[in-house]
Amino acid sequence: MDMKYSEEDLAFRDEVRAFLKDKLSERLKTGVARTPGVFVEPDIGLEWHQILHQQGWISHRWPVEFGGKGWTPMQTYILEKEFAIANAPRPAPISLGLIGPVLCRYGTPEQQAKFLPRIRSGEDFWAQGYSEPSSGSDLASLSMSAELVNDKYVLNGTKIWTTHAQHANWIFCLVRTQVSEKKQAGITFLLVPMDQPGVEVTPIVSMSGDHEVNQVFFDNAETSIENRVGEEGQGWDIAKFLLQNERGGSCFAPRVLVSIDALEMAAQNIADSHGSTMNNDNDFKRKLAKLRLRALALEFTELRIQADIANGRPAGPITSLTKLVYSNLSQEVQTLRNELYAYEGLQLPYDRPLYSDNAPEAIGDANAQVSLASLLNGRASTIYGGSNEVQKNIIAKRILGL
Amino acid sequence: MNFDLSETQKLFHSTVERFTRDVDVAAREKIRAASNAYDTQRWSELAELGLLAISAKEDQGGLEGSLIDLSTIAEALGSNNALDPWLENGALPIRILSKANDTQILNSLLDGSKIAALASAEPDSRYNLMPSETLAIKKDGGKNFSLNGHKNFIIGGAIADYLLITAKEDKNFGIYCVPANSKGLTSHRYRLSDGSLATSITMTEVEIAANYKLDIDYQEFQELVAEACVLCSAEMLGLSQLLLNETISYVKEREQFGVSIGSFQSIQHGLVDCFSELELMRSMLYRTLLLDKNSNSDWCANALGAKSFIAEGAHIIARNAVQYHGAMGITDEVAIGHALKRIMILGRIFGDASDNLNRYSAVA
Repeated sequence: MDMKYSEEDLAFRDEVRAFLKDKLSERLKTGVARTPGVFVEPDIGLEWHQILHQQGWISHRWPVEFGGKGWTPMQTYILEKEFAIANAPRPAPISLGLIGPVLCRYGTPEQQAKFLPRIRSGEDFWAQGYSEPSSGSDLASLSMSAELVNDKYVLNGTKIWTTHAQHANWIFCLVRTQVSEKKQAGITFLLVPMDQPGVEVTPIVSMSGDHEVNQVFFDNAETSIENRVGEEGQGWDIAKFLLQNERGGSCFAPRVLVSIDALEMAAQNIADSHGSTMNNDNDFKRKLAKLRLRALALEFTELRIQADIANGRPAGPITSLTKLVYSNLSQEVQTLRNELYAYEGLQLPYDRPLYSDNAPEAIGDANAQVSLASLLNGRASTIYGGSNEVQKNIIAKRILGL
Repeated sequence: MNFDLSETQKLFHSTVERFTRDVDVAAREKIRAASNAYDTQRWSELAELGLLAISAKEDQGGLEGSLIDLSTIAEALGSNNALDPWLENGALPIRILSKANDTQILNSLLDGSKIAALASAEPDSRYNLMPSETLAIKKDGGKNFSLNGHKNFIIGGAIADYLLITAKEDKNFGIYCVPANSKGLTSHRYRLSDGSLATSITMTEVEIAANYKLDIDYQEFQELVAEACVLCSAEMLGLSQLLLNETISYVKEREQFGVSIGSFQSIQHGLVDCFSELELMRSMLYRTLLLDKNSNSDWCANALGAKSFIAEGAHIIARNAVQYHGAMGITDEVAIGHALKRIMILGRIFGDASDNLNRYSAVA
């Protein structure tokens, strides 16, 4: 048993640190810190995307032949960890983390040649059409229809909770091409251009005041048969592959540890009720120490998974566990952070973005202003990407054998 | 980076398993009914298997195991629900005497012919390691010491030939190796939750030679205690693994309403929570074992923080194991109750989860 980084790993870490020091501007860091949403807005995200693209790192996780770097799992973890510590934006995860790998795996050579370069350059911005109003955790019950008419699919139905669909020019959709007894059969994976008359995007404002998610309506919208990924009826397999990618090989813990450190720092400047500061409050210190221990345990769980992958043992359903632990933990950190700010934690400006010059003045420290909106948005983390209840079903069945 | 056990560690694991697997609930009951609540023949076997020598250095006749090696043994004892006091009468006192390089007494401990236990706790000091009411006073021109005071919670005390007693000497910390049958030392035995016999002692002018003082300062003692806490954590991890395994098997077999109770979602989700705690506990133990002690000045606090985390997780798993066993869970007839009761001891030695968390949060 050892946890030594190899010489190559250490050199790689130094390279990543030097890159971040050189390229990650204060503007971008402030943009991240003052975004209460789950995703950064395109003005921050795309600027960072271009920098990573120039560096050749934008699609580092993809297979090498499509622009991946072929890094070891440990190097990938190191990069993610250094990015988290530096507060770097996360570039469009739906484009790079979801549809990119799907096209690498299931796309035709023509689809790969057409779409992958445009994802890497940032020219295309993708949305994810999975959930429907009546199909959430029970995704396979989806009903949006696609009918093949003269080499074109005609689409009718609706998708919901589509993150940043208001910025997207493409959406990938799970659609029903056949009504069959087994609901997983008859699902097909289609790529659909957003800029056409039959597609309408309606915003859904979250209780934080953020507009991140939408409902998308399809009324006789069209897409060419060339935009079908895989065969008709193969959509469910592709959907599962994508979800595994969404959950796999995570690097959640460094981000939580960074937020715990930030909380500890903030407490030094926040008054308690007795003439001292909150970093001396025993109850706060104990709560913070508990969260830190849990985050450290999560980090080592993630490292154990990375070591397993490196030793040829694929991660499998254990990644449901890191998602489960992370989502609960991040909510607890957000809750403690908001409690720390006391009255100032109750401000909830609806102006966006909060890093613009026109944003309202923060009451107290700048982080207090985003604290409540972050907490409210953060409630989504135990729901999206498979709710906690679904993750527990997966673990119970596939790991515990129940 | 690699978290697999070495071949030697796997060997220790299987050695412990062979040594402990035949002790079922009935055998345990028989051993606990003996006058010392232990079968010292087992102790000799433990010595023969090298499980005691591993805690001493090579030049002292030991096998010089690393903390990871020792932790493997502690975890294996836990996952087999062992009743052998390897930690409190083996690893802990042997490591103290090894550190002090007291080879004469060490030899008798390594071959299993003599047994030692640590007497550190005092009735009015809760979990404080610094002795306050036990005093060591030099006499006869420095040739001897006289000990006076009280010690309680001497776990493994009833089978101990030597007690390693901490005391205040002037204003400083001292630790002394004292024969348990010394004149002036009266001992009271009482049963602990795991069925073993602990002692509390009163010392009135207990006279010992000056060379019975061990060459260990307070910081070294705190480090040895922190390392023992890691072993407590490892044993709790093993016990928790046992509890979860037993419970998963049980809910698969137990039928109510015409189906196995493991098919109920509330039970499935409860067990997933336990599994999640267990994985995090294992990660926390590995993290502590792999923290570089030399470059980490807060190592001891980290070890206590880890114990706090692992003790809390172990308690969650133990309580749920009892719950999901239904009424069977509260009987003395199934293994899980014994695991729960051992976890209660391990979780509280050298501070409970709350106390350990305070120590950790002071530096974290």
